Parts: sequence; structure tokens; C-alpha cells
Amino acid sequence: MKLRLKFNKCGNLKFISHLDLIRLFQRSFAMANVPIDYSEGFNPHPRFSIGNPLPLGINSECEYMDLQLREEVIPEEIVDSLNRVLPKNIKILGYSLENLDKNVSRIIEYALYEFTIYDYDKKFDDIDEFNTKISIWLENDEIKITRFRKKKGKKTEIEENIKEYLESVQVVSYEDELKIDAIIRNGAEKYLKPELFFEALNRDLELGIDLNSVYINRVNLFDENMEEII
Amino acid sequence: MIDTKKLDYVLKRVNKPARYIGDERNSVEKDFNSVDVRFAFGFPDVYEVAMSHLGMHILYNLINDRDDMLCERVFAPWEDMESLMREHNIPLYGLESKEEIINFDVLGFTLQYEMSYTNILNMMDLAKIPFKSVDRDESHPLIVAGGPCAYNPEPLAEIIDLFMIGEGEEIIVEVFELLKDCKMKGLSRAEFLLLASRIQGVYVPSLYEVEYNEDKTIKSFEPSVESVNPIVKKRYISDVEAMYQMDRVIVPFIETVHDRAVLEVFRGCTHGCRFCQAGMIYRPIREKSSELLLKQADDLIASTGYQEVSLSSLSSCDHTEIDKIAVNLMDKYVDEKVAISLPSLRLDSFSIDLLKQIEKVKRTGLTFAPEAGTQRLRDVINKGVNEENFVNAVSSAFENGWSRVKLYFMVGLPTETNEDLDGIKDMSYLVRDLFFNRNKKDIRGNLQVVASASCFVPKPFTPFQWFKQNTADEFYEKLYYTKDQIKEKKIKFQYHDPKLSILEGLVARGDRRVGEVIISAWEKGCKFDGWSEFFQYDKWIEAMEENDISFDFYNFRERSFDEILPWDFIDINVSKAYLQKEYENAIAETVTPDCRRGCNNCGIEDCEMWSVFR
Repeated sequence: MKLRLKFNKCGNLKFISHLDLIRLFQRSFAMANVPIDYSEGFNPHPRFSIGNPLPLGINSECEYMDLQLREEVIPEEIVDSLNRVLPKNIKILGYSLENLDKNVSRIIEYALYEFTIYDYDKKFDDIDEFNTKISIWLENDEIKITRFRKKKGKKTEIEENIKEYLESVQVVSYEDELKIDAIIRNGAEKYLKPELFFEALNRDLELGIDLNSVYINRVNLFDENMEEII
Repeated sequence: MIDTKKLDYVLKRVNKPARYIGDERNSVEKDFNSVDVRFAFGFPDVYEVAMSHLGMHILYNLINDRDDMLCERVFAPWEDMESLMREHNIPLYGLESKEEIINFDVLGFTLQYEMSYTNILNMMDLAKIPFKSVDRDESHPLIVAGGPCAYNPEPLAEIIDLFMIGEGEEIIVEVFELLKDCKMKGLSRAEFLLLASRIQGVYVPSLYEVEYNEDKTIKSFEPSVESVNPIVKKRYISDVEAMYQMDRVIVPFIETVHDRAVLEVFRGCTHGCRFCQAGMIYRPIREKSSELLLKQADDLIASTGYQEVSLSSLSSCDHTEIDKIAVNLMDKYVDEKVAISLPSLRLDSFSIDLLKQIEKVKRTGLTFAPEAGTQRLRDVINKGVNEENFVNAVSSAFENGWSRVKLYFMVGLPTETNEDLDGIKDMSYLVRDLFFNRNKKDIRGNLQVVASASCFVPKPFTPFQWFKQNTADEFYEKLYYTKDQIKEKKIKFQYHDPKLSILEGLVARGDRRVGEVIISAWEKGCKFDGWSEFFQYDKWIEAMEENDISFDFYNFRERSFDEILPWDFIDINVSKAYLQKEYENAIAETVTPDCRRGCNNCGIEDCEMWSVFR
């Protein structure tokens, strides 16, 4: 049977890479006796996939994975036993048995990110002025970023217009800390790294923020109709 | 606690940030202020190397199982992390609590490799702890050390407050219990150290004085306080069945050197190879029973989710029940995709057969360690392998589908001649011939032979502890000679850096005066010396010159049997007379049989072999 799980990846666990996360789940399935199916062949590997790899260093409250199981299970039991063996800062938050024909990475189209900057040196009078500047920025025909592509070991730079990757951008808090929410494309075909989006915003609005000091949190993932996945 | 926002900021900019976060499965986080003894276990190398060390996991769990103590881990940050820590003024911290190391009661280092000592200094510097015992006070953690290199503690005598010599399970608890007691009674560090020196296996360097002869050799080595024992006897666990058995192990998020559960099947080794320090210091042989091992394997697999268990020991195939253990484990875990691996292989067909049985997914490569190229030289070093064993093992490996073979050799061994170096070529060519001289239809895979040569470093407590090490030039000459002999494309010849090996030799057989060289080398920027990208030979030479320390005295000199060696005050139970006899046997090319074939009277009491032969 197939099963879709929703989980988070918080705190220090944001520094675990996608590959290390896969290995972590592989060990956790073994410990929790999850009857995961194995691929055929010389070097069998467990059949599960995590939708849309999260960049290293980004917190997430909303991740999904699809599991292929070799027998029928009670989903609540799988969730409980996995939560018993997973490290703190990764928890299974829910499950679904619907819409499983399509792999979850093919369903996800948008992500809501929250960017937090502590101790922000204020550049605008108030939150409204800030949001107005953002609206004007979003109306530009071109919002450019530079992507690095590796082809045959060679690094090349590609300039790209990300305007159509941006759904909404809004300052939600401008008090002790600056908080910006943004919904951007996060699909298998159309994908924008949250860091690249923020770099463009920072550059064009001359925010003067040290990008390493930005705390990024993936709050939610949506399908093409802006509906939640589970 | 360090500033975690700062840490977060820094971690976004480093390679492999998971090295520095803790939080792994089975790591233990305790309330820092609710225990009596807070111990930071330091491993002076990068996370991936440190986490592959079995001893650390044992002591970590053993201490954390107690309510009154805690053990955290601290490793050498990689260069990128170190420079950011210095730039942002983040001191060295414990991985579990993120508490500054300087706030721990004890900081301990495991001494696995002489060329990691500059990393000890670098870690102390990052923790803002003065290097020398005399420059520290009660506000600093007690600095302790143990591990194989602690068998010659002298190069670190002015840095480490207290050494624990031998196996750690019992002694570490005794030392920490005493520390707890002394803390409660309000005793000073000096008072604690004096009391601790009465525990068997404890060496407190500040309680001993060394005098030197005019020729720089040691004139006397004696306690400076009357009540202190002039001899420090090593500790070992006499009953490995009853000792602390680890049922879990921390599971790293990132891939490490040994990314698997490790099952220690026995301690000690009976082969008696004359170059091997481990073979002497870890005596006597002590096997765990198959019942205990199978249970421990179950526990480790259940608590980690690891899908590989390695049966680890100095020569795992020597366990009297190794078939039973391996086959039982394999049958039990075959459905759960848990693989069994044997990291150390004897050179015989028994080992190959066993390996064939247990390794379901075949590795393409196999490693053998003949150590020397001719039978004569193998007799000198007492490596009990003959050409027949070798031919059988390699043939059997090829018949079973392996096609890549790695051969380990040493150059610079006592009595070595060009003929022995030719032997390295001959054995490599023999492997090639064994591969191709078969029926065409039987030949599978693509042959690759790697012959790897390391430069011999004489170690304390081996029969070769008196031996004059080769100079770097002599090593280079031998390595280039050997390399030129090998013209076959299928055979790749690799070798270790002789410069690193002579420095390792300097520290391995060094005395108290060598400590200053290590400090000077660190001041000149030396760290991670075992990593070729960081190794700075010239800086070490400068440091030696400034401190008037020469290779001629420490490395390139045959010591006489009556010279007082810096480590002579340690008693490993194997007698010095036995080591001397073994050196003489080596020169006479006389083989000493494996202890399993009869007691050789090395001096060990309570040896398991006794019950067999007495």
C-alpha cells in the first residue's frame, strides 16, 4: 500500500542535508519496523521519496514523503512508532491515503516561506511604506537573479527573470524583528530557491541585510490550486 | 552556554554543518547543573573520524548511564569552522549542551595518533585553556588523556594533568568518583592529583622528576613525592563478559569513516607481530562468548537502525567461534537487510570462505597485509604468513569473484635489504599471475592490484622499540627503488609520506623535552598534521631546531638495552626482558609461534591461553 506522511524539520536538524535525511529515515524505518518495500535488483533500496528537497540551513514545518509499503498497515501506528525513534526536531505531523497516484513531488507547486531578521536596522518609516515598496517591486517586468548551473563539472552563471515565480510577498511584522512572508514557486518544473528570492529583494530594495543572518522557515506547501497537500 | 544565534549564523556558512550540532540518535543531553562531574570527551580530529572510534562510544554511554555524571563530545572543528569561531569569538563547546568547554570539570583527550597532538593544543586554545598544567588553576577543567599513545605519555607530560594507562571502563569511573569526592570535601587540585595517583593505571606527570645524562639520555626517572609509586601498572578488564556492555551507540547524521554498528569480539591478539604496538599493549587475549555477542548485536541493531554490523577486533577471524557468530547473525538478519562485515582479514582461505558466506552483496575489493615482501623479512617481524597461505587466500578470493586486491607493506623494517623490496614487486606480480593464469572462462572482472607501502615507525612497548628508524632520504630511496621495479600497468604502487612518519617516530618515542616542539609547531600554525593538505613539515623542522631537538637523537639512533627509555616506568605486564628477547629473535630471523600454539612466557598473568596450555 501507499502512504503519504507530513513531517517537520526544525532546530539544528535544518543543518542535515537531503541525502542524510534519507539515510535517517531509512534507519528509522528499520527501528520502527515500518514494512517498507524494497526495490528489486543487485543493491535493493527502500521505496520512499521525499518531495522537494529542502535547502540546507532552512527550517521547515511542512515536508512530505510518499512510502511504498509491502503490507497493509494502520497509519496511526506507523506515525506513532516512527515518532518514537525519530530525533527531536523531526516529527511526523500527519498522514494521508488520498491522491497517491501522483508522486507528492509532482503535486507540490508553491511554498510559503517566512523570513525573519533579528535586530534589523530599519530602512522604512513603517510596515505600510515597506509593503508599498514591495508592491511596486513586484510590478516590475523583470526581476533578475543569477543561478549557478553545473554542467559536466563546469560552473556556469545564468541570468533569469523570476517574476512569474513570485506569487505574493508581504511584511508581516516590523517591530522588534522583521518578518516577511512570501509564497513562491516550489514545483518540480518551476522552482525558486528561497535564498535567491531574498537576495533579489534585498538587492533591489536596498535592505542591506546580511543574508547569512536571515532565518528562513518553510511554513507550508501547496498544490497548483493553492490548496494544502494534506 | 555559547550564543546559539551566533552559532546558527556561522553554521550557515560552513561545510557539513551537521558536524557541529549534536542531537543525533542516542546522544544524551543532561541538565548541565544537576550532575557532580561534567566530562568533555575530546577527540583531536574531525567529526567523521572521531565518531568512528569505538572506545569513545563505550565511555560515553558508560558515564551517561550514571546519574551523577555526564559525558559530552568535543571534536576538532574543520578549518572553515575554526576560522569562523575565531572571527565571531565562539569558544569551543560541548556538542550536547553547547556549553563552553572551559565550564566542564574535566576535559579528556583520547590519544589515537601522535600526529593529532597539535589538534589537542588547537582545541585547548579554542576553549581558552592554557596549555601547561602549571599555568592552569582550579577554575580550569582538569585535563586528562588515555588511549594507545598514552603508553608513552611523556611528550604531553607538561600539558596533561592526569593520564589513564590501559583500558578505560573501570579507571575512568574510579578517577571521576574520586574527583566528585574531592570536590565535595573542598580539596585542592593538587590534593586530588596526589590521591588519584594511587589508583592503578593513573599517571600524574607533575609528581615525577626526570634527570638527564650529558649525552641527553635519561639518567633517572623518579617520583618527586615519596608516597608515589615509581611504577605505573596498566589497567585492563579481566572479565570481558562481566564488564560494561554497550547496548546503543550514537548514530551520526552524516556519513562517517565507519558508518555501521561495531561489535568488539575480543581484546588482545595472539599473533605477536614484532612491529605491532597494539599486539603487545592490549594483551592478554580475552574473547567474548558467542551468546553475549549475539545479544549485543541485537541490542545495537535495535537501538540504531544500522543495516551493517562489523565484527571488529585486531584479527576477528581468530575468535574461536567466529563461524558460529557470523553465520548466526547472517541467518537472523538476512530478511531485514542487515549486512555483516569483517574488517580485519587473516591471510588464509578460511577467512575468504567465511567472507564469501557472510557478504551477500559482494564488495569488489579485498585487502591483505603481508607487511613484508620476503619470507625472511616476515620471519624477522614475526608476521606468521607464508607464501602458501598467501597464494591460497588470493586464489580463493579470485575464484569467488573478487578482482581488486590491496596489499599492505612496510618499508624501513629491521634488517631490510633490496631483496625484500624486490619481494614487494614479486608478490604484486604473483597476484597478477594468479588472476590471469586461470581458464579464460573463469576470469571475471577487471584486475586491479594496489601495493601500498607505509614507512615503519618503531613504537614503544614493541620488540623494535630500540631500533634505529630509517631517515627520510633512506625511505625515499627505498620507495623510489620499489616503484621503479613495478612496471605492470595493473599494479599501482602507493606510499606514505616519509616526512610524516619520521615526525610520528619523533613523538612516539619522545620524552618530556619533545613537548616544547609540539607547542612551537602549533604556534607556527601546525594542525591536522595527519591530513596531507595541512601538513607543514618545514614548520615542524623549525620548531625542532628552536628547541634543540634532533631526529638523530630520537629517531636515527639504535638505543642500547640498558638505556632508561622514557616509558619504562609503565608496566604493561609484558616484560621488558621478553621484548628484548623478541628483538634478538627478530635479528636471528627466529619465529615465535602464535600464543594459541603454546605459551611464550611474555609475562602476562591471567592469560586465557594459560588454561589451554598449563
